[in-house]
Amino acid sequence: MARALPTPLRAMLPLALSFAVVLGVNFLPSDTALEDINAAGRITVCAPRDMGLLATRDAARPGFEIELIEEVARRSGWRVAVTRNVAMGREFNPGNWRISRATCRILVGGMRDNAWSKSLLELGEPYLSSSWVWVAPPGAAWPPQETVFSPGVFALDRAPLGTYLRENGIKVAPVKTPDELVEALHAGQLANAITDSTTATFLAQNHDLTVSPLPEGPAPTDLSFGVWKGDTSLRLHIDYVIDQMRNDDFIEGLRDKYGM
Amino acid sequence: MTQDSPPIRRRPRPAPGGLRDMWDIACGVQTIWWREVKRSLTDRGQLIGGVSRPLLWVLILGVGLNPFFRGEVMGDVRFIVPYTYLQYIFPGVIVLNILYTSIQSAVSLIWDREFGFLREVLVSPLPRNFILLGKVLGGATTAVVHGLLVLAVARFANIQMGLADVGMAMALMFLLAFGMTSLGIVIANHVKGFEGFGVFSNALVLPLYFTSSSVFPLDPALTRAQTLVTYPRWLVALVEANPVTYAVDTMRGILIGFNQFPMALGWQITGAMAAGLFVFAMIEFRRL
Repeated sequence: MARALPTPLRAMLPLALSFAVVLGVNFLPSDTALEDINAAGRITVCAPRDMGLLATRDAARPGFEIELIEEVARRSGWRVAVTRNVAMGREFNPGNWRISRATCRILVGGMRDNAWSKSLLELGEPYLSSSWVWVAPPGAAWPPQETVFSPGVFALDRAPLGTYLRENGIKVAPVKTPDELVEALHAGQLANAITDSTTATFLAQNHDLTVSPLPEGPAPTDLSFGVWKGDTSLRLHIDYVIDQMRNDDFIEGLRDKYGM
Repeated sequence: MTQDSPPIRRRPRPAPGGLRDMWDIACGVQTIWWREVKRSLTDRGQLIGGVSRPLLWVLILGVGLNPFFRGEVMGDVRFIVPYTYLQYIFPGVIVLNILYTSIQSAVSLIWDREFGFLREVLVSPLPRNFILLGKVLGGATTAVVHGLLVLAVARFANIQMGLADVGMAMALMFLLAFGMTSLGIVIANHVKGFEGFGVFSNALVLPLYFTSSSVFPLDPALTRAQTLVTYPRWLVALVEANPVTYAVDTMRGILIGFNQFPMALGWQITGAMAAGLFVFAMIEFRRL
């Protein structure tokens, strides 16, 4: 015959049962995003047409983030369909990219971890970070009186940079593209240029330039992939796979491949 | 020959001055506190309520509205809402569970009054204020446990907390529960039966909850003038006048790092509310 529980334990049984019920809720998926993608075996990705080292039109070197998401898909058993969006990278407000869940489930290409992006999207754990840096031919000194400025590929927040430059009394000569930045430096008009660290790394690989952080400059911005708000199960799954990729040094290898 | 009955020796009420008296008082308060806790935590009705609220509000309403909670209007980002609806509503549901449980804990006063237990306690040597303290502490402890029932669903709502966050959340829960149990005692003192108390508590808890910015945000990115354009002036006034707003907001600051008002203000208002309502309950309790 089974022995009855002691009275105090029996009295606490309903409370224990209550905690068991609410803890059980944690094992439920909060949405069907991951289930949908697993069922279809296919993930749709939106990326900018060209964004420095992150997304390129070169099939052999499609870009850091494209290769990263392709590996995530491979490890998850999905096929990948990348949709190139012209507005991404050119227009910094995600609301104006004119894309929806029907177009893509994941967004890559320099998604900045800030309140603006998070108003529309859920962002994964950051795997890259970018900041304003200065580039110059070897031997140039900082701070200059005037510098070339290119916004680079990340569209980092320019307000803190503007404050920093004003505080240091540095004037700016803006250019539109990284190529124009290199031309201006080579022409010897100005000795230094400011751009984001990823663009600067990309330029330093192909030209004789050195990259240095801005002394006491604005804080770096984290970069990650984005999913639509409410697709939490998908985001958590990708975060988990990326964490595994971090542990087996895949991400480190990818960084080396792109010189980041 | 008459036999004299032995003289009755009355023990004086302990006063919180001497060490021995303070020990007696602490034992008395602990006994009343433990009775309240045991009674509440084994009350299946209260437990079902404590479990059903997180299930309905987080699981059903939170998941249901989660995909629609964006800062976008016609493709244009107008509001900064850097969290999901599940994360947004979660601290509010903790506060809802605390409001219900603390006010319902005070129903024990009506039970005790109906069945004569209160009279026995009131004639005990323990000063009335400490009897009240034991009851309020008991109700507050139960309410914190019910708050923890919601906190147990944090993983589902994708809320990441450290031990320090849990500790701060529990401290805030306790302050709020202390004030609300005191308010429940005041209500129970004025209500004759159980039915009246149920109606009264619902009529108080739900308006307090809905006007506390628990289910919709007053966007902190908007200036006050913009807020008044976005929401009707009367609604903004109600939300700002409701002290529970500041408790919910501080809880949100602790759990998801997003708050509309300064966190220090939330602690001050919740603390002042707890102290003020306890003093009010003390005055009411003396009339019993």
